[in-house]
Amino acid sequence: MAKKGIVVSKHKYTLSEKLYYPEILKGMGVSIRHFFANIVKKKYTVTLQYPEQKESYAERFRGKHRLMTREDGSLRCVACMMCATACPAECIYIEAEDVGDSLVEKRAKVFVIDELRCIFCGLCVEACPTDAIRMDTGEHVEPEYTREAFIYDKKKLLQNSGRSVAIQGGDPDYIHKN
Amino acid sequence: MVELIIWTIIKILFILFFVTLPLAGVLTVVDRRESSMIQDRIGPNRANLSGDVWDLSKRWRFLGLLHLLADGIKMIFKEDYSIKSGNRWIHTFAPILAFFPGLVILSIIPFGGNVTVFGSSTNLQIASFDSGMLLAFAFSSIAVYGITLAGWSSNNKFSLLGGVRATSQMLSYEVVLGLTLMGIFMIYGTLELNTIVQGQQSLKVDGTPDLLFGFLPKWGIFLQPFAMLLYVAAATAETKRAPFDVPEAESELVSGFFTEYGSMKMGMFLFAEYAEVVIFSMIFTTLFLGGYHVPYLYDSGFILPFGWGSLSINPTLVGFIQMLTFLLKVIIVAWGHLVIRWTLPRFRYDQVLRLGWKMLLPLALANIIITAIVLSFI
Repeated sequence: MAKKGIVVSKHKYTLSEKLYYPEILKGMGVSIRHFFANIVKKKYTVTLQYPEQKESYAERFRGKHRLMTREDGSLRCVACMMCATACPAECIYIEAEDVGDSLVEKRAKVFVIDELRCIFCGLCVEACPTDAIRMDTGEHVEPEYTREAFIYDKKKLLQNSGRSVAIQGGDPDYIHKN
Repeated sequence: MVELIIWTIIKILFILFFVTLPLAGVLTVVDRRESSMIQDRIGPNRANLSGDVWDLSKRWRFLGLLHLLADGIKMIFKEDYSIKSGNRWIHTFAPILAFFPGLVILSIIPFGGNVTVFGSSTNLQIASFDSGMLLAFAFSSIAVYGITLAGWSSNNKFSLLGGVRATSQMLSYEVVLGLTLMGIFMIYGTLELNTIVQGQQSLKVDGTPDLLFGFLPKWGIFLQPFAMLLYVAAATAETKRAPFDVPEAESELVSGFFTEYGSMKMGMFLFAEYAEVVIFSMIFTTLFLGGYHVPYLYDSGFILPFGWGSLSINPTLVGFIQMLTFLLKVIIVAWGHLVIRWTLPRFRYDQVLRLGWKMLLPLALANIIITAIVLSFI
């Protein structure tokens, strides 16, 4: 059975292509145009001088985690384990302790995130009912020399901490009213 | 005699240490910066002397020339690797053989007119041989040995292939190179470069300028435009740079004949490449662009065509103007040579040889015949 072949038409060279030099001069013209345009005012250049200039990430970029605090500076986390449950990589470890407060009840004694296991999906942020964990730092996890250094404890997670004014556990007055 | 020796030493020091080597060094940086400008990049801009300054624009970068220094320091302090198999002596000797013969060609290049300093007058040319360009051809062929021996002594297949490619390419193109210039030699009737340069822009016996069509100086580029095109192609092949860089061919042969070299030995090969570019530019300027001549500037001053008047200038000042003109022309030609290198992709190995033997060689021969016929009628 004869195979059907494809007829490939060969490129017909024009006279100036056969002579090389006109085409070479054209090419050099492009080079020279770019050279002078770039040397005078970097017309086509898009290079970013990295360590000095940084690309700003999108507003919703999911970066390094941070924990938020209340007005009085205490951790907002109520150790409800929602984030640890939601986490598909199982990188969050929380140990709860009693606060003795009727409203908050619990707080995190230990709050650890293994940044090497984290897949930066953002589900923990979505799961958090108290706006305690956020990924809005806009930074990468910094490189470290040991694996242990990537396991962020409460102290490290509070480094970029900020105060959140979201009303925790809903409106507290709501409970008293009813 | 003492005067001659002192002048010769001054000229050698000047052309070697104040022109060729600095220019070749600067070209290594210019090549990278120019390529980046052509390719819409920024290129190397990190070497600076200001230490821990965060603001880029406030760093002391000296136009990027510090990269030359940084490169030199890097090359010197790298491990001077000597091969365990292969011929170590030839391996060490090859870079020297590739680098220095090219510099001998500088001795015949006239880099300025006649200057008079402290009552002592001299032509700015180290040595004036009747054989002239033949010496250039001879010494540029010796450079081929350096490349070949480097490839062969390395005991590496890539190096050997690079060496073999360099040999066949450079030998083929040397033939073309010689033949393209025959037209120039026939027109000016000499091989001696200073005589050729003087022939390109001279006064007739009655003191009027000897011009082509009444306004063009008799430069090689106007008398032999076709030979000029062929010469550029052949000379680019001789310098082993793209589009004729098959001996090096990073994408095929790692880095060709100097794959097994490190430290300053490799540096010498790289530097020899740029020195060759400078020497090519000098020879091109001398033969085709009127050497050190400024258009319409003669020993006694400007004489404009069409009887537009004249301006007399001190002859020594003319000598120095001509020297600067020569340097300027060399720099422009070298720059253009780099543009060619960053514009064209590499020829395939068989295409290089076909271009050399089947196209450039017959065209060069035709150029000689036509030149001879035209000359016989004038």
